[in-house]
Amino acid sequence: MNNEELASAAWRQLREATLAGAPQPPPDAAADTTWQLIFDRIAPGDALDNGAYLMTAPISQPTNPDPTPNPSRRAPAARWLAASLAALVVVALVAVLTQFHSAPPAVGQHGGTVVVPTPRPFGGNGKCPAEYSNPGITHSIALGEISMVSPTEGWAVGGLDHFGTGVSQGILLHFINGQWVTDTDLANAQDITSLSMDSPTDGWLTVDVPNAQYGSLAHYDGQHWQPVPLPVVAPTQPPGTTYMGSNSFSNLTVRMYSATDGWIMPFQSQTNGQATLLHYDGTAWRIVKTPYISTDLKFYQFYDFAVTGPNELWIAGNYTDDSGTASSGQTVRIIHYLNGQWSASTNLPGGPNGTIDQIAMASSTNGWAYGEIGQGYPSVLLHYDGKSWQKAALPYTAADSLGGLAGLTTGPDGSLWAIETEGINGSIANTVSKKLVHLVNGQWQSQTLPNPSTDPLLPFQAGEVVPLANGDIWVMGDILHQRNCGPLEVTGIAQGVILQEHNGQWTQTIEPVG
Amino acid sequence: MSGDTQPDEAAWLAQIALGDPQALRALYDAYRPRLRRYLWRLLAGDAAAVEDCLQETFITVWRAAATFRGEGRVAAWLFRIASRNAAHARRHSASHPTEQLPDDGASDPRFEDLTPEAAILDRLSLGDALGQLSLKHRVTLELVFVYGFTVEEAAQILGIPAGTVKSRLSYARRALAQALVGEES
Repeated sequence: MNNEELASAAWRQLREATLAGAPQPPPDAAADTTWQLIFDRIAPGDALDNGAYLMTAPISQPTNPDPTPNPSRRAPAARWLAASLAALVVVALVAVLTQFHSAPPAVGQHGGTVVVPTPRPFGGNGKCPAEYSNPGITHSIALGEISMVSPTEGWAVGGLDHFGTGVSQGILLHFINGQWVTDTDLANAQDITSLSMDSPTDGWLTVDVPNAQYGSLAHYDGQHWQPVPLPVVAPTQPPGTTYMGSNSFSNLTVRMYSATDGWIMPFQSQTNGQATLLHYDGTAWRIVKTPYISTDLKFYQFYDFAVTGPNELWIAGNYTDDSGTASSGQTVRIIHYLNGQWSASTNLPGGPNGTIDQIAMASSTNGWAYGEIGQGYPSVLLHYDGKSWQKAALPYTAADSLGGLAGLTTGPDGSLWAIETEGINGSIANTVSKKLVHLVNGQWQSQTLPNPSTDPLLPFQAGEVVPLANGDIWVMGDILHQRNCGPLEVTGIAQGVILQEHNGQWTQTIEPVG
Repeated sequence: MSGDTQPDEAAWLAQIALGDPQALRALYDAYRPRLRRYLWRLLAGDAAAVEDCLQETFITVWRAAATFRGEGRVAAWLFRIASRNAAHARRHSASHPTEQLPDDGASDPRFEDLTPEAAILDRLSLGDALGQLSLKHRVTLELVFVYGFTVEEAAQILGIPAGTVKSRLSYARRALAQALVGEES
């Protein structure tokens, strides 16, 4: 057998073996059940699902939805709504009369005839106890970021989603005069994704515009938030560039070091070796490309970044080797930008495989990173001392696959703060934030967070902690309600919460406010 | 599944973009078996996670149908969405992915000639070799050989360069060639 025949035979046999070895799941018995869940979620009758809404105060429908309908979300919903309006009214009346849980959750058209879907039991899709089911929620309010400019003033952002209408609305909150109030400067914004205030009179935020080519920005001048256009980015990208699985330069995060220096990073992946960032130099946002680490290692995905000075940036992310001649796996790197020059960490403690998804830098010579690295992907906390990254002790056992840290940040004195989370029901898909942890002189201190959830079965997940110089601590997160109890559903319905510790006393604000 | 997007598939997406749930149901019925088998592999037989991913995939289709530009096959688009949902589910799963990459300490993969998998493939027979493949290698092979996607489509679905797909295939083929030589001698 010559080489050509050998290759041909090998190829044929490989194909046959792959075909024969493909996994065969058991007989499909869930097709209709899953379709029913899909159908329930695409139908505008979602809001009729169950009983009372859990918000502590009513939420009004947005009065100023984006005037440009989103073709992929609003148009179908709107057209569906029109087509099904009469039927929906009938079903709504039935739902009210039968106290919801025995009523059909939605209605739609199949095969040209109106079909009322089979009612779901009160316990959602049956994968969790009835008491887990979240009754009748029509909105999700998720808070994304908080930025305090003083003990008495701060800002917070997030997004509100109306399930029934598909309308999204940005949440912009201003803490002033001792309370959180809604700021209406950006009433038409959808999904405000991040916020960074560098002073009481200067700050930036980023806005997601679903299915648009770019996200957008807004700047605060001490009086008002004003929209600011993004520089054109995508046309400069090489073919194959994707941002969050599309060509949209969106889902942005902003971090300001000062009024004249800051960075914006999109959630992006696999951009042919280089990623695109935006750097503000005091006059304009300009494109900065991340480096090729080598001819083999190319950018794959970035997860978090921190700024430590003018023209200084740290990014945690993954690179991939796609040369075809060496490892094709991913390798985790922390890269550093200083005055136009890039450098990259060598392999981090634990090995090349894994993910670092949080980085918090107090200065150029003192910083922290957290993720999962090495065989079995155990949790890893790394400390940077100005020379190298080294493993540091976790506040929990690294092998505890249900433990985790969130909201990694540094305080005014450079010490590390975080939220310690733990899984519930044997899964980190459902995590609950129970402790505020603080690393002081190498020792972890912790205190139990108040649980803003009135239902012990609805977890509170904190995403941010902001320690202030006066000793006050702000924590922001969401109470997560479960709609159908599936793991992927859990994160979909949020109720934003802001906690404040002042003189040892915790107070809480639960959305809605203002 | 080879060939271009079927006309009715494109029509279904157009109808879905207009808010027609009947079209979504048709697409669901047509693709559920293949997507379920594919997700079964990606999610290590976790039936609940597979169903959740299927649900999320078609919800994404419902929301994003208008963005499908018809530049590729509907099948590749659907598998790409399913892959991303599966990756999301795996990241949030308590039992970490079935793929356990070796921890080689401070060594830098840039300076290794072969991945451990490639080395294994080099010395094992076909059956053994396929059994030893990592998840990412198996999935790559299956996308090409079982589901009939091109190298470029598999690359899009997995979010990796086409060169990586080719290299994963070539590793397996090279190992197989050596196994065949061994059988002859």
